[in-house]
Amino acid sequence: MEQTKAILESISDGVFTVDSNWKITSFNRAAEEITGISREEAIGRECSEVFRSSMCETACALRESMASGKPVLYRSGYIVDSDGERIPVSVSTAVLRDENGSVLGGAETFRDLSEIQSLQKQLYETYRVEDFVSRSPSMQKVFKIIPAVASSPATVLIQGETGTGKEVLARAIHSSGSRSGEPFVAVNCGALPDTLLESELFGYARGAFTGAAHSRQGKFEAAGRGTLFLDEIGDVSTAMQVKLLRVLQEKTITPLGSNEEIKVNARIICASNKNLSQLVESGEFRQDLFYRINVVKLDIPPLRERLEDIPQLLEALLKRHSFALGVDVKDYDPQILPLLMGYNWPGNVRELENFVERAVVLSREGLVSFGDLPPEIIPEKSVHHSDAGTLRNARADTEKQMIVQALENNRFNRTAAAAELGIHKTTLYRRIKALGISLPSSDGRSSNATNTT
Amino acid sequence: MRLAITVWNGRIAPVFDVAGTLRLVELSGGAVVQDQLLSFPRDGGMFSRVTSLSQQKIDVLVCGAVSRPVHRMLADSGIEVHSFVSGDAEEVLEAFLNGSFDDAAYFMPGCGRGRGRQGRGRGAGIGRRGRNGGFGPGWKEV
Repeated sequence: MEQTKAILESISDGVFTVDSNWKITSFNRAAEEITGISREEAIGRECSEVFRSSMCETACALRESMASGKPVLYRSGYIVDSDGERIPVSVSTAVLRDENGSVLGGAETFRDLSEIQSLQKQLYETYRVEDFVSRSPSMQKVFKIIPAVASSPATVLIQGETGTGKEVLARAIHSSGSRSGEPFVAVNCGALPDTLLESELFGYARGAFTGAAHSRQGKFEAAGRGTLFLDEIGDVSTAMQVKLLRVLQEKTITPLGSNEEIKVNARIICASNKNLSQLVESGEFRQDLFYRINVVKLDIPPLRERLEDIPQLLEALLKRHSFALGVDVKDYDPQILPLLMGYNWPGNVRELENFVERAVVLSREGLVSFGDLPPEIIPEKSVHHSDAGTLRNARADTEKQMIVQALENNRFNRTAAAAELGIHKTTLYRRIKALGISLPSSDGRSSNATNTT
Repeated sequence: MRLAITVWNGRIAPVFDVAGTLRLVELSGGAVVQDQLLSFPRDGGMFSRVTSLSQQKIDVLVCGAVSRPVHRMLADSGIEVHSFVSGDAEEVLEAFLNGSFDDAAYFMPGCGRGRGRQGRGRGAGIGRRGRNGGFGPGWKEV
């Protein structure tokens, strides 16, 4: 008995026991430390008034254990300490019986997860720069050089498909450097015809053209000592390219209809969804301008090449949109994650964000589920289930599709396919036979494997 | 005056942030003119929880443990909060009605006035007290 006491006092998990009336009968040292309540105060009091956890009312693990006689393991929630701090905890419970098997009460152990969650947060922070979230190795390389890039005045070229987050990265560079307190001005060069783009960028003097009753400041000037982000730079005309080159070389602009030169102090970040070196080769983009803007080049891979980012992006976007829309959508149905991971995302992060926003609006149950998916994300194969008629047929159909897919993924190597499916090789053989899946004469170990179904 | 008490199993609910039932009592001239139980949705988030109390025109709230940000929201919405209260809900209400309610008599364990509390190793250590002048919960004032 003394030995048990000594063990309970030495462990770092909180432990308390209750009698059949939910009154605390013992409270170890770690429980005192985690809750901030001394055992003298705790013993004899209702456990819910001592433990004060988010689970007490609706998901009490101890109540479940006492009702079922079985232990409950690692249930997560939080407790509220006397300072009003929410402390994340993981609890496990068991029933206490005497030597005759009669129930004496229950025991609960709990672990303070504050430190673990803080470490998780730190880890999460290493995968983000400002609002740009990525754990892909290629983006990690970009993240590493961002502090150096941000603190230099060098012109930056960001290349990536549409929707990959070029502006988000440009803002991250702006916010990470000494210019963060200055304006960030973004202009989509591809959206404007030359004349408009010129007046937009350089501004104009009063009377510069019919209707110009007042002078107007251009974006180069508006950016001041901040950052000017020129998006879709690959779409500007060759005439405009000459004008931009002059600004970048001379660091001055002349507003339309004015003779006065204005000094440009802003840092320039350009972006393009096209490969500018290819445009240079084809003669569509001036080589001298390319060299001017290609001082530091950052490439953002498309989302389909960094699938590992999807879960973290889904989580971050769900939090952002749930908060913005004032709704309480907490999570995704785990069943839809393979579909989200398997989709090609041609519109990249922007398309993913649109999906999340739509799902948050549509979701009625606090969970993004299959019904919230837009049709393009649901593979055609999944839709065909209804043709099968019965549940048995539908199941067989799905199973067949999964097996064929796994075989194709592994060039018909049965062992590898079985491993991917999480089943034993012999089970795979049996299912292949039962479902009538035909296989090529050779498998993944030979080079001349052919397609089949 | 409209008084709300979060209740569970006949006692003050242990944690306001997740309490599921609200007892709403309206007093006029010292007499109870309305006494009803309301369900308090748990899935609407903290903001809607506090907003629903404001919409019910609650003047005083008696509840169990409450997390700091939620307490701040409650105080900002002008509700007089008696938090970290435990005990039989009927007895607490009775004490409140006859003017003998004293928080100290009903404080949850570890929240006693002037008794301090043991540290968790995250703050000032053993004997660390609540933020408001040494009173554990210390959140009576609006």
